[in-house]
Amino acid sequence: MGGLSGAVARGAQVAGFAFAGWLALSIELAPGLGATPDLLFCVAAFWAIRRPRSAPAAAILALGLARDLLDGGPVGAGALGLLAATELLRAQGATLRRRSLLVEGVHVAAAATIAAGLPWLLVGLTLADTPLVADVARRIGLTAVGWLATVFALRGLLRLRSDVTPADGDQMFGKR
Amino acid sequence: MARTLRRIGLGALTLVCLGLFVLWRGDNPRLEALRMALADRAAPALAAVSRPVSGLVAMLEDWEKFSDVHGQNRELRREIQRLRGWRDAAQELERENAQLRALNNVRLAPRIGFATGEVFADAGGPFARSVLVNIGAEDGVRDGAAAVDGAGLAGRVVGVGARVSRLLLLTDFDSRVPVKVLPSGQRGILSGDATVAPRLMFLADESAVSVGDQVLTSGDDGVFPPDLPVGAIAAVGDRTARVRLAADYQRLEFVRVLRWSPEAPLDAPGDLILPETLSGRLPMSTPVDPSATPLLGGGG
Repeated sequence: MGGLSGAVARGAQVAGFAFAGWLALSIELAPGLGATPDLLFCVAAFWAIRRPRSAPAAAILALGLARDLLDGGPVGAGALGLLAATELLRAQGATLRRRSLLVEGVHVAAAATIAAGLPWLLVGLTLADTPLVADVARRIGLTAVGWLATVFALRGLLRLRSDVTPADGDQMFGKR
Repeated sequence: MARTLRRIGLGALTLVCLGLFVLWRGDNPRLEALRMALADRAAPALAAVSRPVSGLVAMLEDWEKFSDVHGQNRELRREIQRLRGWRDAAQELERENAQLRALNNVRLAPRIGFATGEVFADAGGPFARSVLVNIGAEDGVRDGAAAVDGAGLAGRVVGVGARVSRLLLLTDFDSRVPVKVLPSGQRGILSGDATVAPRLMFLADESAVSVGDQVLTSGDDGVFPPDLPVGAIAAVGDRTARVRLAADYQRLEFVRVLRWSPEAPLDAPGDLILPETLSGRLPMSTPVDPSATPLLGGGG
C-alpha cells in the first residue's frame, strides 16, 4: 500500500514537471516575443539539479521532441541537446546543490551552450544551413538570464525545494 | 546494475533522437505529417497560454509608447493629412484605370480567394523562422500557398493540418521566392538567411537595381501569384542585393493565406477536340435527316 501511494506521489511529481515544461514551452512559442531564452531548458535544468527523480530522461526527451516538432526546428537534434545538457547537470546535481547560486549559474550556462551547440553542430555536420553564431550566442545569454528568472519563480514564488538530500544524490550516482 | 540500465536507456533515447534527425534531414513527409498532427492537437493549449503572454507583451510595449503619446498624436495627424492626399490621387487613378480597361477590353484575372488566420505560435529559436496559424485544410488552406499580412508577402504554407498550418517566413534558411524588381524588371530569387533583410540572388544586372526599388513576386514558380508586394531594395552588392521586407514580422498577428492556382497550361487537347485515334474512326459530324426536321425538310 505504501509502495502504491509512493508511486502515485512520484507520478504526480513527474506530471508536475511535465506541466511546468509544457508551460515553459508554450510561453517560448508565444508570438511577438522575438528572440526568447530556452525556457524549457531552464525548467528542465532546475528539476535536474534539485528534483532529479521527478524529471525522468524520457519526459525531458518527450518535451524536447514536442518543441522540435512545434517550432519547425531540426527534429531530434534539439531534443538530444536538451537531454545531453540536463543529464550533465543531473550528474553534477549532488555537487551543485551544495554550492552557491553563482557556481550553479556557471554550470547551467555551460550546459545551455551544449543544449544550443549540439543541434548547431549536428545541422552543420549534415551540410545544412546553420544559424548565425551571433543568434546562438544570444540564445545562450538569454537562457542564462532566463534560468535566473526561473529559479526566482520556482524557488522564490512557488517555494519548490530540492527533494533530495546530498546523501541521496551521492547514492543515486553510485558515489558512496 | 541500475546504473548500467540507465546508461542503456540513455543510449536508446539518443539513438531515437539521431534516427528522427536523419528523417528530418531527409525531408521525410511522415515527419511533417506528425508535426502537423501534434500542432492540431496542441493548438488549443498553446493558444490558451500564448494569448495572455502576447497580450502582456503588447501591454508593456503600449506602456512604453504611452509616454510619447503627444508626439505620436501630432505625427498621426500629419500622416492622416498626407494619406488623404494619396487617397484622392488613388481614387482618381482608379477611375482612370477603369475607363482605360473598358476601352481596351482588358480581361481581368480571376479574384484570388483567401482565408484569414491568427498566429498562435512563433518559433523563437535560432533554427527556424516559422509560425503556426489557426487555419488548416478545413478552411481550404493548401500546401505551398502564399501568406500575406496587411503590407506584403509574409511566407508560404509548408505544413497543413486539419485546423492549423505552418508558415515558413521569408527570412528562414529554406525560403526561396522568385521575384522581380521594378521599374527595371530584373528577376532574381529572394533567399532567406535568418537576417531581417533576405538576400536577392541571381540578378542578371545589378547596376539596373537601386536602393528603394520595389520588389514583387514574379510568379515564375507557378506557386505564388505574380505581383504580390514583397518589399524594397535596401542595399545592392555584387550580383546580389538585400531586401527590406514589407511584412511586419514584429507584429505578425493575422495573416491571409491565398487560395490561388495558376492558369492551366495548354499542353494537351481539350475536351472539344477528340484525340487522333478516335477522330479517324468517328464521323466528324452527325448527318441530318431532312425529313426528321420540319424546319430543314419543309418548304417544298
